[in-house]
Amino acid sequence: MSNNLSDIIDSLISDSPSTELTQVVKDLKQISTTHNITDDLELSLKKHDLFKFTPVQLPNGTKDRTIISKHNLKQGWFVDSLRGYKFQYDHLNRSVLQCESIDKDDKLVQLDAKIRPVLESIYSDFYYILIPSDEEDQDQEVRLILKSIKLNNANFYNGEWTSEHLFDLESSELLESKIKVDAHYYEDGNVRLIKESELSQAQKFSNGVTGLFDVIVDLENSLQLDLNKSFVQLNENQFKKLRRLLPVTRSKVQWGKNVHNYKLNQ
Amino acid sequence: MSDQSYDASLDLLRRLNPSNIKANLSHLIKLNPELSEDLLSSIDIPLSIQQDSKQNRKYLCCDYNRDLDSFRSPWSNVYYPQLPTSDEEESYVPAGQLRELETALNEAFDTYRDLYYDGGVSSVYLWNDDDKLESGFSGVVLLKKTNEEDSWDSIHVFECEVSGAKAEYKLTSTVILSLNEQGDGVNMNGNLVRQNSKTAPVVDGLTGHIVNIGSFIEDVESQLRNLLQQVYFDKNKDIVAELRSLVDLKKVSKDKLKQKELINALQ
Repeated sequence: MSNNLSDIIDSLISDSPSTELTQVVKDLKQISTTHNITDDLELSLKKHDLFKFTPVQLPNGTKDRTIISKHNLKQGWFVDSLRGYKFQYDHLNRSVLQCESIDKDDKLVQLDAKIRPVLESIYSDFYYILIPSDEEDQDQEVRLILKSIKLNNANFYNGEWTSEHLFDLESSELLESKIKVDAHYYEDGNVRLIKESELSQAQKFSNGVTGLFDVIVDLENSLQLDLNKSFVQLNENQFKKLRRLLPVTRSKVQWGKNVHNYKLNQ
Repeated sequence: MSDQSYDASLDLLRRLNPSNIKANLSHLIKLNPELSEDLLSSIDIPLSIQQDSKQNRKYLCCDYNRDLDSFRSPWSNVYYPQLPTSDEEESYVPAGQLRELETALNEAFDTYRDLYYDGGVSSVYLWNDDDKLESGFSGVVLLKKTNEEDSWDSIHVFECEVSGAKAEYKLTSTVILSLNEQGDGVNMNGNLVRQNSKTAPVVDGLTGHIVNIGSFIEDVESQLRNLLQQVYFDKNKDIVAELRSLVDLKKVSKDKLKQKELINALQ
């Protein structure tokens, strides 16, 4: 059972909206009354945090916002060299365990001064991190991970926008971009929207950070505009093909003994 | 304790991706087998289709027409695959007035399906203890349409209480809607549930029930269609716009401030 149980927990955690994991964990503990699932839960949550990224607020004086991911995990510590902290994270209880100051990376601080105003003009409630590559031959690469969050449990909806951009300012290339949109609406039901997209080819840019963000913003804008177009098209085409608003006769059904006369008339 | 686990399961299933509802349901049952019966009878999953080989007609399967691993067809009133003889004697098969109404409702909703869905499959199942209509009955109306990657499943469960010349119908309606674009396109999956009730005179016995149930479900399903349209297309679009703005937020807040100053100046 043990092996099987961990697969089940893994699959349930990976199927949950990231914004609702605390409640999901609480539910799972109440459902599983006979098995102890704590260890399995912790492993699945850790996997989620590393591969799908998790926004975190640091318990330091400034309450800095950051992100944890497999990219900034170093010997058991999550490192944020832009803000000058390293910390350990309790995946099961979703909280920062220990937080220590480290030296800030001056290059990142300079880069951030240019990036932050751009992000603030696009997202209203967001967490992000800049992570320099730790591979020696790729030490010019920087990864930006961003999560924009909307929590509105009072009105039964939550949403999350995740962007991951890997770029190289020396060679002026945007190497990799992954974007995921995940929205959940659950008033008297459960409706989920998911769209994921990936940049397939590296893109050149000029004009430094400004040029880089022209490319990134364009890329994300076109994804969002495509999504808006999809809503219109799905509504006008695919939704209509499933069930009409009114019958072909353009009037409601005359229920009664002669209801099958419709067929004879067609 | 068991109630707590059940409530937690319902809460969890409202959060997990609805496109994996079948797998998630079986995961939860493995975690706590005691929940099996309650969850299987209360959680709606997309309907499966079976072939009635006698009538050469498709019908829909749910927990209400199931016995062991067999499902009763509304067209021939027979279980497929055939049940073992010992179980067959005990399996539920409506007769008399109730089966008569069931047959008529199946024909009526088959017409309804044709008019609204232009394809798809429909099935109606009724049940009670004495096969008579005046003692009241329960039922379910099922509709399913699939088109390429997309699907619509309607599950209307109702109870009918008859008192004299009137009847009260209590209806729980679920629509499971799945819309998917190919490639790295949009996936929208989910369901909405609504409960309604209606009291109406039953004119002309059997026909009266057809008119009442038919028009009730037609109205509720049209309302649900409007709700689905709002949630899937408008609500989702709004949520995305709250996550990421296509216009400069600094300009937006500046404009708001200006507007406020203007209003203050006018007061």
